[in-house]
Amino acid sequence: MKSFRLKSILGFGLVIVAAFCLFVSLPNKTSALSGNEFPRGHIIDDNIFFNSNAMSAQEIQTFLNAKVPTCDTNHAGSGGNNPPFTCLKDYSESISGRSADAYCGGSVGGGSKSAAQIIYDVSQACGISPRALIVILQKEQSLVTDTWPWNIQYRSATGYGCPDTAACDSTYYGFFNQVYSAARQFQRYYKQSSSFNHRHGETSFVQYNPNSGCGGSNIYMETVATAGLYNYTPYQPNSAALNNLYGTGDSCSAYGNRNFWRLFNDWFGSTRGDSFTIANTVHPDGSLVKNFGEPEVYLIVAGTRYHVPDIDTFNSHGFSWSQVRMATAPDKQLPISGSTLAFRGGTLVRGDSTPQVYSLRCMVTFCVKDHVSSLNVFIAQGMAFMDVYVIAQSRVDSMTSDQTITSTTAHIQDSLVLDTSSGKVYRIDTGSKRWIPSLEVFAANHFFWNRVKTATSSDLALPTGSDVEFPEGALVREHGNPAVYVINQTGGGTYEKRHITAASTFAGLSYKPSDVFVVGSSFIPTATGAVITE
Amino acid sequence: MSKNKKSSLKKHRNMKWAIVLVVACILGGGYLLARSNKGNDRPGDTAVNLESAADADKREAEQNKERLAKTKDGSDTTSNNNPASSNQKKSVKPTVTEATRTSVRAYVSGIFEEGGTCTATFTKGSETLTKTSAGFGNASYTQCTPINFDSSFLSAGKWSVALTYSSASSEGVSDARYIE
Repeated sequence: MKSFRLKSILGFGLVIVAAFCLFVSLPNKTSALSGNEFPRGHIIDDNIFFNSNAMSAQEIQTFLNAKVPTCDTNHAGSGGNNPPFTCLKDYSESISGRSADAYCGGSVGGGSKSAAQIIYDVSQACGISPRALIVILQKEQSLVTDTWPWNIQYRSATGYGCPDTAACDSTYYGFFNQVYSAARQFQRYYKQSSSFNHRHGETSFVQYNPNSGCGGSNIYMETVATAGLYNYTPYQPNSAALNNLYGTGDSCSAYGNRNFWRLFNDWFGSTRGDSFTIANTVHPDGSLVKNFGEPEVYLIVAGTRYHVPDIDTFNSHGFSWSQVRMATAPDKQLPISGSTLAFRGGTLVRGDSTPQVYSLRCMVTFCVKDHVSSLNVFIAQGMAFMDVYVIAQSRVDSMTSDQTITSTTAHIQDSLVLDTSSGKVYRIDTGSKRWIPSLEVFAANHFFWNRVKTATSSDLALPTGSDVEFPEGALVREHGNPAVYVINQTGGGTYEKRHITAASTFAGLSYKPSDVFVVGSSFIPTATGAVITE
Repeated sequence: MSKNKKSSLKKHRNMKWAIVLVVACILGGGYLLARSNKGNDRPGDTAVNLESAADADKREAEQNKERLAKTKDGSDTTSNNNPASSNQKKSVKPTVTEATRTSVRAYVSGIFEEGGTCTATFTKGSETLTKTSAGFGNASYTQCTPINFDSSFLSAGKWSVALTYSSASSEGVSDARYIE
């Protein structure tokens, strides 16, 4: 009996071990790349392509070392190219460096530098991922994996200035010159896009091959980097090239962009991060948008972009950076107002050379200032010095003086006051008190809890106006209903809801589920505006 | 040898075989795992593939050399797309990538140069209109600065457009494209 149990245990153990052995022995080929996955309009995400911090110089060196463990330095010469050969991992060059310009915002210092250091320095100066540069070196001249590269491969390392059927332009000869020229060109494609054929957010025709008889197809350029890659190499792979992803296709095949995608995936992982396809529609009014790679933030109001001129203005509105969305291509077509966004109404300011404190009443692009007449009034109004923005005196002086605030009993316009007996919070607005009916409405309006003051009898004696509503641009949905709406203010000042019809549009406008306020149906306008779709 | 001793010996022998089997499986499995990952598998989302060059990449390196050896660039010539001694211009064929009622975009492959002129010629019946822009070197070809025009430039109807490129060293005309 004991022997039987022992045999059983031994047998069971062997089965487990055998299963383990089988598991670890199975080739892990499930992640191999397939040509039919090639995303013609989205070869790589911008946040991957333009990530200059993806690798340190040492990590680049380690990568190059790994790809060619042994360099075939003394390989037999061929076609006038004679040993010794230098592999990329061992290559160095004396460079004169480059100063910053409009496309590469950083400078590159001169001196003798290794290939890895050059790749790193250029990526930092020009804001291009060193991984992208490594892949370009491979797709153009196979420099990364070549065990006996020729001098001309370094001389024309990124193929810059090298037409298909003629000699290269000697102006761009040299490894550093090549890497820098290529990186800088990708910034030109982005920053000077109107000069080039393929542009982010637009559809353009891309041939399969220089031979026009091979045909081509229209491609919608979903990312800046994808448009850049097609500007650099203006061909897309045909089906023959994709059917043989690691080999050659037919006489109509071109391989540059296929190989960029394939090599990047094989060496550095997916060309797609946790990103999304930028929607091909404008952000609704009330949205904050920012062009990729540019510092300016705009608020969209009535289809016009208003530049948020400084951090004080941004903060006065209670905005947060998580609310700033990546501008879509149609956003970039919206007109930009000649005037910048003004402070939010109720903001306290003083000039940097005078002590007078003012409370502002504002429209979209301008404010008038009401002088807080004394310290007593300041204190009685529940104002705090930490809430006073100290701004340029000239900016304060340029504002029109309007009223003088003297009341110590009634709170001024835009104040938030708490009725301690009912627990209701009101906003003082044009001679009335307006109830803020929920925490969600309070948060969506970017109100600050530390600015809520105790209501006075004068405040409570004010007539009651309409309830404060969700502001323009707020995302809402009803409990138990997945439909997400954006609040919109109509020309008549009333509010309506606009349905975002597809999840892809929601994601493509860079919204997140946590941006949506989930509320009762009474908080959502009944009037329905135009749907938001692509 | 007693029956008990025999049984114990048999048990030990079984155990030995089991251990040998386990060790062989682990070593064999590890070897096959390592081999299987030497192919062209993708690294994880953040991992960098530090395997030595895959066979396909090595093959491409050799093919690149073969291509270089065949091309003009394989020798140590300096750039000269048009030998000065020859008066004959290089024949090129521009490619129109976009032709709409407000813009024409084109490039010229096979040359990389500055200073050429791109001319879009629009034709409808006996009507002919032209717009020009400058060519400039872009990566590995010559790009025509996009030609933009007002939507009123072309009257209603179907127009054909062909792009002519001309420089000191090259010239040619594209296939016609139609604008509805």
